[in-house]
Amino acid sequence: MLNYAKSGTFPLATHRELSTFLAEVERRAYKQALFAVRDEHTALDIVQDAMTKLAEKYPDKPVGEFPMLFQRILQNTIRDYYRRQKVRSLWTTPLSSLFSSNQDEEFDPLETLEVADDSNKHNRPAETLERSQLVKLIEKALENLPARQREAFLLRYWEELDVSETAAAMGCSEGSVKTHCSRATHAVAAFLKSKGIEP
Amino acid sequence: MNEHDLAKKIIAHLDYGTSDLDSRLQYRLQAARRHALEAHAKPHHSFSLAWAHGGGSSGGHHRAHTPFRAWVPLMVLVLGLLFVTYWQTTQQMNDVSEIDAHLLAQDLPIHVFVDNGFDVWLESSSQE
Repeated sequence: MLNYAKSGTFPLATHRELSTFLAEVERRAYKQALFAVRDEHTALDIVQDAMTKLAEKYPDKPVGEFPMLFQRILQNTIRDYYRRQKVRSLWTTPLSSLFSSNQDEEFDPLETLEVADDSNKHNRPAETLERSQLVKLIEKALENLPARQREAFLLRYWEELDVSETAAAMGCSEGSVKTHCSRATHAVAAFLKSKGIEP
Repeated sequence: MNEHDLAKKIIAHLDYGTSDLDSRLQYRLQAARRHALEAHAKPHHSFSLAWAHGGGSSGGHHRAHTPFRAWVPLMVLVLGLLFVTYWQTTQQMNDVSEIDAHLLAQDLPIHVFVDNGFDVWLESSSQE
């Protein structure tokens, strides 16, 4: 794939193509970042940074390389955030432990479920509600996964990268990708089963 | 159900979740996309200071990178070096002229400082 630009068989991305690509991936990218950092504003910042980096640093790449490049940038930006958080927690943890409150209570997505105020969208509101609840549970399950398992699962199945591309984006072996994906899928299924839902 | 089918089923639900994003979030994502496209439209320079693009992912939504901004730190550095060099040269000249003035203002005639006999006398008198 990397030789396409040199050989000229794969045209370089135009402004419109980049726009189309970003519009296509932005929602999934936001969700990926949100699963990882669990903060809406931080997730939006991460997505904006990743988009800007792609546009600034790789303007001369063919459009076919964008999915892979963007995912690499996005995952690295998320990792950078983790690193900064780690450094920050070294300073803030001793202080916060002094003023700790009961914030680690079990979070039940069903209790805080926000149903979209769009009743005409679907004809069967009960079904819509049920599906929204299921989505919330799946998102919760993904949030609870170890970072590498979640990353592998989302890249492989949601972004539809193949095993070698996923391995390249994650900087690990193909075997590791397969293992992470398998564990992630079974962990989500087990989580849903524990809530009485047969996936 | 095998692993792949199970994963695809989960992904179908995730897709459903993203299709129903809050309009405020959709607007923020559009703004982020516009920002990235502006960066893409700008002319790209082969040379720029790596840290002039800094901040990386530290947040914020209006970080415009102009070529002028990239060159400012370099200009400041060069001007600083020029100032330091000028100051050192001037200071050296001032020091020399100060010593000269001090020597000339003393009662001793100037040739005693270049007279070797004076050094010998100084050493011998200090030993005594």
